[in-house]
Amino acid sequence: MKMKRIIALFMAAVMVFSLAACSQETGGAQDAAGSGEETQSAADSEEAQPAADSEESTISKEAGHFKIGTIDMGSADATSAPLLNQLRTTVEAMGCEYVTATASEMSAEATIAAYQNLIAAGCDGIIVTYGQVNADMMAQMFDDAGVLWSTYWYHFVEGTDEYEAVMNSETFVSSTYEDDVNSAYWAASELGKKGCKKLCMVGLPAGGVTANMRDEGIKKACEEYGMEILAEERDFSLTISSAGGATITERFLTAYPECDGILIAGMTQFVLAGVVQTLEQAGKVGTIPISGIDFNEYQFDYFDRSALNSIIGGHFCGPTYSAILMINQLNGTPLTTDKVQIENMFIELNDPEEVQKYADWLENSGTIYSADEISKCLVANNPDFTYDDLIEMANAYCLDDLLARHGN
Amino acid sequence: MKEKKQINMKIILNLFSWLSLLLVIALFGVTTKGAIFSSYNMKVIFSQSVLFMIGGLGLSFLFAEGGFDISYGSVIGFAGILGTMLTDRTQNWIWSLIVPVVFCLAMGVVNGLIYAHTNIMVFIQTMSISFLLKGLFTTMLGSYGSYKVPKQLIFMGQTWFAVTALIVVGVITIWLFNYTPFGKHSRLYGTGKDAIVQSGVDVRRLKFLTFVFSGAVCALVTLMSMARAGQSSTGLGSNFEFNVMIALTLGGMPSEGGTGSKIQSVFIGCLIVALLANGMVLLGVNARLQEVIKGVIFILVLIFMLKIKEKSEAL
Repeated sequence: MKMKRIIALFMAAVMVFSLAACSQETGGAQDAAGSGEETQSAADSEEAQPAADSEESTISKEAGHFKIGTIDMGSADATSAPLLNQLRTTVEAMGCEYVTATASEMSAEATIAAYQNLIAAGCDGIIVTYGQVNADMMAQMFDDAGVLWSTYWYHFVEGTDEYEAVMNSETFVSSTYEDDVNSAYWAASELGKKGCKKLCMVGLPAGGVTANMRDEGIKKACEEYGMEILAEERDFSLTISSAGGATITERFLTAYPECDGILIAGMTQFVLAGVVQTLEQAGKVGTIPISGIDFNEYQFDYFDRSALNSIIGGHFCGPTYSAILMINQLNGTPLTTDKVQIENMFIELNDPEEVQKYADWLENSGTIYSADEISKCLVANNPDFTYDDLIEMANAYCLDDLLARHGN
Repeated sequence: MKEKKQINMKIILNLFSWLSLLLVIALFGVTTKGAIFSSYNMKVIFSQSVLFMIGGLGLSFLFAEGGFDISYGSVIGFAGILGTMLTDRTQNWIWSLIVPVVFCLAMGVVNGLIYAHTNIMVFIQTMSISFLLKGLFTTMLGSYGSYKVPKQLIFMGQTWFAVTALIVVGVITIWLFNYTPFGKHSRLYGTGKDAIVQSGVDVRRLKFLTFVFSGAVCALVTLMSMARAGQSSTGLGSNFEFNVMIALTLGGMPSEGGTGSKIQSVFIGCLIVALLANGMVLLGVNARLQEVIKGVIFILVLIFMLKIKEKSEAL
């Protein structure tokens, strides 16, 4: 009897909630709860896909108040976390709302679901990595929804199908990419300069533009310095964790006692701890230098212990540049009418003094570009800001630039 | 008195999943001010659920038997990559259609034979196959990140095809599960393996057919996944089986299978999962918190269902 009463009460509560829900105005996506402001995009249009009437909706919105979405991959490492923090700072500094969806498993289905949910949430622009879903499908999805989109950490090579797909997309804004040939060349060269000849390598999974470009850079450095890659490990299930890094290094040391250098050509943010720990246990710290691509949160400690020889990373700003382009475009003051690909610079660390300066900056500062700096990139606030200024800003990015703007 | 209490517990178990679905709909309906009911959003929820519904229907017999297929996602990935790779090499789109179908069916047969004729735990069996396939398709990809799906197959990613596929697979599965000895025996096997063996049922044939059916449905899921993504890569089918498992559990399917297994769990569970993900993004919930909330809900549901079941059995 008691249980029946509980069920009856529960069902009554559900009925009340349902009635309350049905009595609300329906339509497209709404503001996220807590923003307190109403967007006038698809919220007022009944059957339309969110932002389908993008021209009307952007003009009717309060200048600068748009929703910019991205996928949070669920990683808080030294490469992903600063990127997302900087993007959030950028979006909010330009008066917009920052919305995230999760796709922590990075499957094609999860990625598509995340895009769809961001569109349904009323995002006016979406900034994402590229890889799980074909460019044609992405272009179609975003074009149909009338939502602007940009990618980061990916270079669309001219002449390929995916390049044609993004350039023909009505809503594609920009892509940002890194010079992975040179970053890998630099990382490998640092080992060459140390006198290393027999390297073991931890790499990205084979395939894809990034991995191929890094392989090209490594090959160039090996030829120049007369180095040989004895072994490489690309298994994602190992390179995704420090435990995996330890396993990989143990195998290297066992199978290749002649190894005199370890190159981590990606995933350094995950594997470095395991690699260093294994070298320490084997008494090889300093004897076998490590050079890596992608920053790691404990890198300063490893430099202090002479475990890490050199590292290149800090390429966090790609989504920020895309957001600046996107929000200015949404605001009716586009910096350019072309679909562009902007190079994202790295920070190179191999000198103890520079390492210390960067560590000090990181401890004392917030983001690479402050909210004040970003707000000046909105043409509505600063009519003198141009596309050339954005490119200059991107090209200037390096340790010296960082310290000059925010250093001690 | 005891009988009444037992009946109450069974009613709660049966209604729990429906009530959960209604509660989620009502909760997000209110908090998003009706945004989840927009036609676009309903379409989004459907498109995010349909593949897992179809896959869940294919796996329902194995789940009812108390088993689970960890290799499902890897089979999807491998079949997709192999088919599109051959298309890329031969420039003939037909391989992207034939190879996934043949491969998924073949894996259904292989898994079925192992499941039927050995005493290996199905979890271990399928996990081993998953490792094998993942290693193979990573090797196969080589220096390519992905292979494009030919445009002749893209129609399989469209809504009308998804609706049609869901109806066809749904009708067949409901008929098989509820109205044929195959479905009845699957549920009985989950309830008591020894009893069903003693009752003269050809258990080997039952177990073999379970995976064959799953393999056939997997072929359709593979083609639809490929069409939706437009390419085959390492992300194709990734974690598919775990998403189905979460959906089935949230939908009220007992984790140990048995006579309490119901097909409705597939539909309800998939909708709940899609609504949760969609609703939280609409609300602007931080992405990190979304994962925490999903995990908490999943654990609470599991605990609740286990407690109710324990109480029912104690009576």
